[in-house]
Amino acid sequence: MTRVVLWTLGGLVLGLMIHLVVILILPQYAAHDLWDRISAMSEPTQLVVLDKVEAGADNPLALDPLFAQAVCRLDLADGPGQIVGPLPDAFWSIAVFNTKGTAIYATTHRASSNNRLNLGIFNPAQTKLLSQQEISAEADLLVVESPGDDVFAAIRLAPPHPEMLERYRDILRALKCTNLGT
Amino acid sequence: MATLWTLVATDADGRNIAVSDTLLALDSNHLSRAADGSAVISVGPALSAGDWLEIDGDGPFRLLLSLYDTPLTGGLDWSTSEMPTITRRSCS
Repeated sequence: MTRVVLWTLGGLVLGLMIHLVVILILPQYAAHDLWDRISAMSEPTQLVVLDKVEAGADNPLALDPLFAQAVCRLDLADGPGQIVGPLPDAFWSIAVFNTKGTAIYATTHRASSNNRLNLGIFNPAQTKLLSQQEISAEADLLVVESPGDDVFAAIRLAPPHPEMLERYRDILRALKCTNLGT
Repeated sequence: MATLWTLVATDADGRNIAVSDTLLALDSNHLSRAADGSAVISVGPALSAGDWLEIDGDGPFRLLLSLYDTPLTGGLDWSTSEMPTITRRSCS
């Protein structure tokens, strides 16, 4: 009798463990995740200004209607990534994500002194070359290290007035998103 | 508790239900506030005094408050984590 109870208990615990493991790894096998969506809408180094949110229209990315927003995908195997250009004297933020959609770096307008964005994204090998000064970098380059080669950046600008949204979208279009030559 | 926040009203599928494309959301920079910094925001189809987000339709909807550049997400500062209260008013 004790043996039957023990076997049943053991079976239950094992079942519970398998259940938990499956639930925890499920997101990694999701077929249509954020990275797939970003990949579908842009090529590496192609900066895409996201569509404006309109009343009554679908908003699959759950974007904030008051912001001008852009994404840019980069493959660091082609060289360190750089996102550079002037940004307005208003709230803005930039975040760098890995393929899992986890932010590996983020900053806002408060960290910038000259209203110019100059962000460099380096993989570990490139960071090493940078520290050995084998990659030249501008003095104001903000260095971000990414563990993997595939990253994307999301840039958000908040116009002081809704009427300025289109102008702020033009500012995003003027940003350069490239691979630095090594 | 944030550099900037926005308030959006959507339906269950995330579509913005504001009446006008020129006022899709309210934000912290364009509010009339009381002397203590608090603000009362009305969300609904009926004309309201003060800050008013005019929406369309009837039935349930969602309110989405987004905080930007906030210490809350980093877990650094929970001292100001008091969230706004929502009160249901009469459907006049």
